[in-house]
Amino acid sequence: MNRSESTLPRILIIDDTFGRRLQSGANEERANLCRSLLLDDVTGDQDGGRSGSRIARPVAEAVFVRGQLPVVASVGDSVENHLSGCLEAVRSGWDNRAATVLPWALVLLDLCFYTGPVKTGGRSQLEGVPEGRPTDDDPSGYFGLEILRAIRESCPGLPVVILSGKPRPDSREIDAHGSLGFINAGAPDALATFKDYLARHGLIPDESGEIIGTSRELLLALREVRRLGMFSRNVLIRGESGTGKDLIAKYAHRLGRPKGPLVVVHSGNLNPTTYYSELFGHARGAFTDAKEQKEGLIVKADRGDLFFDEIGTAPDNVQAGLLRVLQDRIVRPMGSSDTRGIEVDVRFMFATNEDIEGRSLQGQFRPDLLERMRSDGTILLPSLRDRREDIPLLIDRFFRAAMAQRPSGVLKGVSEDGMKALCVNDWPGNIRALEGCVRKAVADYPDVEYLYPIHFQLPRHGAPKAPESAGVPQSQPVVATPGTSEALRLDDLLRLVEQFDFDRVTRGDLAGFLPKLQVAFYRFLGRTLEAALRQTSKPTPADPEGELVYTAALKLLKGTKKLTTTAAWDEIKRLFKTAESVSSVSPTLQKVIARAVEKRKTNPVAPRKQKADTSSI
Amino acid sequence: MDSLKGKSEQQAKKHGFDERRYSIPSMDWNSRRSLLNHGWLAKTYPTMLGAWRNVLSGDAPYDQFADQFLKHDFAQWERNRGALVALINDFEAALSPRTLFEVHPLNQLDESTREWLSELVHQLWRRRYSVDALLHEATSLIAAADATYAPLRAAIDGTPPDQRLERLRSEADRFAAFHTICRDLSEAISNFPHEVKVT
Repeated sequence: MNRSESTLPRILIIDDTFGRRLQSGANEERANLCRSLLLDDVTGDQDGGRSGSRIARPVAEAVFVRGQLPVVASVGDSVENHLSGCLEAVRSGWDNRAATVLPWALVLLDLCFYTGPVKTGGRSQLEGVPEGRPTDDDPSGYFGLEILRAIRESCPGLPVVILSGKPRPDSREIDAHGSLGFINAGAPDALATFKDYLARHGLIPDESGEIIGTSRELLLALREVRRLGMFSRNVLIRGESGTGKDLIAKYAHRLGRPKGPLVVVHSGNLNPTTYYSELFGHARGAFTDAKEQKEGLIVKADRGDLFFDEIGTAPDNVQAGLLRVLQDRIVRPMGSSDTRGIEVDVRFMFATNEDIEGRSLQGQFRPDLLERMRSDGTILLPSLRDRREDIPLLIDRFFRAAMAQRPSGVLKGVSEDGMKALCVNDWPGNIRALEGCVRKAVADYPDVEYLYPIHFQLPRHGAPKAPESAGVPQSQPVVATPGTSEALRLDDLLRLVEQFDFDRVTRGDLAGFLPKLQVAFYRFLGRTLEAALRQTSKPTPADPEGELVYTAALKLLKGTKKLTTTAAWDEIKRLFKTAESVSSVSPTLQKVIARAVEKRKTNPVAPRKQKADTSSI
Repeated sequence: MDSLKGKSEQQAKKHGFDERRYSIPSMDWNSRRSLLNHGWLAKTYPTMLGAWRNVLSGDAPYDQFADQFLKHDFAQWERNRGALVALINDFEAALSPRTLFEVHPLNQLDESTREWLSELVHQLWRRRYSVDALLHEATSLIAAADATYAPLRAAIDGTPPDQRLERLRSEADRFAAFHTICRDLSEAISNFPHEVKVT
């Protein structure tokens, strides 16, 4: 299924019974599960029969995997568990960023997988199901737990829920390995539980179509929004300029508190002299021009949401006033003699693209307000370059919107080359810049049939990122060619690290953050290598951007003058040795890593045997 | 225990089931439980019931599956309930630590000692694991399932095929109740101890 054709969530089900293929035709147990959970089986391994009928309004598409070999087992075969096959299936829908299919919304994982010989009239009389061995039934040795552990290691962040006919085992065992829940496959409420898990834990696109995209990064952000639910009170939305923070606020409002209004405050647009009264309201005569009592924007948002854009620009008095409101949910209008104030039920969503922690450290933003603002969670919006697979969908939407305003002309679409050029651009101005670029091309060239690269005014390749990108920790160019701004940023980061009390951190404090830290770590490594490659690149007449010199870059990183080319390739392989690490870096770097793997296929590096200086990278 | 067996048999006769003694000598009790309870009663059968309920609600299509369910698959309860009853009835004999007196080294005890000691160990085990309560719950649920199944069977058999869907939609709550009872029965059987224990 092409990304543009379906936005139905796509789930992976790893189960020995439901995942098996039969020589005699359709797997009826699977067909029953699909009807029970309202799934559209898109595995593509069934021969029609009873599984041929499709659900009219499916909840999700499902791909089934047995997790064992042989997948089609006959009497006399011995069925054995197949961990690497499971992981391959998992990764195919998670790590493959170039895939034309949606990432897994959820993985449903069985616990007990029966192994051993298949006999006539075997277990439950089910075709192809083996007799089972005593160890299969031992909860401490469930193969499902082994798969769960492996998924957690190789695909952190992938939501996994246990689907079993067994009673729920010791919760500590499955919770500790990262399962987000448990569905009893045969329970009367299995469908309701599945829908609930899918909504809260699944990676599902915005059904309204307002937020465009199906990339893993975007879907993770949308999931964070849904998890906030209606009970959150203070939320911070972070992302570079042009990433669509306002759309995220609308999405959160639509899902969480649709009965009340969504009031939007553009902090940067408010007049500094009337800012406070606009927000909190004022009593009659509160100041010279206050001829009438006025209700503030916060009171207007009662029972709904207040989206506060560019919060970093709020003046000191507004920061102090906001802190009071966030603490007790009572608004005190300017000049009001009513000491009780006005009680409000408002959820505050703050947005910023600034390095607000840095500003807080420099005394430009109240740290206590910052803590309050993010007390119920922070939503990180990915930059467009971190979700490139969404660019074609966005281009399509923007092109059609632009064409709707210019019905004349012969323009039919964006050429393949044009699409490629737009997709590889870094888009420091993110979605807003992409939209502007497409609109301008449509406006400027209505008389060509297809738009080619020459028709687009692309941001200059290698142009510096938008300065506000510092507001998004994931995208911080922590190591780059030293310059004043980077030095300051690094200084702030170091100060944060120094102030952080690591001794008091427990494992529980880190719950849910470890996968993000892992991604951030590999991104950091990636940026480090990219910075070194940029620093050592050699401009030539044919390539003004500079030819990448891998060995020189690695020498720079390692601080050594002696390094062979093959050793440089090995170091690159060593830095990015897992699929997760590769998927966390830029496409350019992914190509570099692929080349390293190709160059050094037969020479796996044993890190422990490396010289001491290599471990410092 | 005997009274529980009798109750089950009475229920079976009342609802017209063929009560038979199921015995699978090649399989130990836990394997039988795994096959019947975890394999069939907890997974494949209720999944089918869930699918059927979605047909009734209109969320899933009325197709070959529905026909097959009404003609054949729903009746799996009739075909397997006897094996379930046998499983429940055999539990005490199979999992009691009294069985340890039949194997080395406790089978070396003199007969009179073995007799009173094994009976004492058995009674202590019954008390510690609330065996009566476990058996009572499971047997009651078998009876409840029979009582719910019978009118559904009658409704299916007594309605012409072309009117079945409409007729059975009015039984949706009873199908839901039967589904819930199956789940509860499965959990009750899962609650039986998993191994012979003396502690």
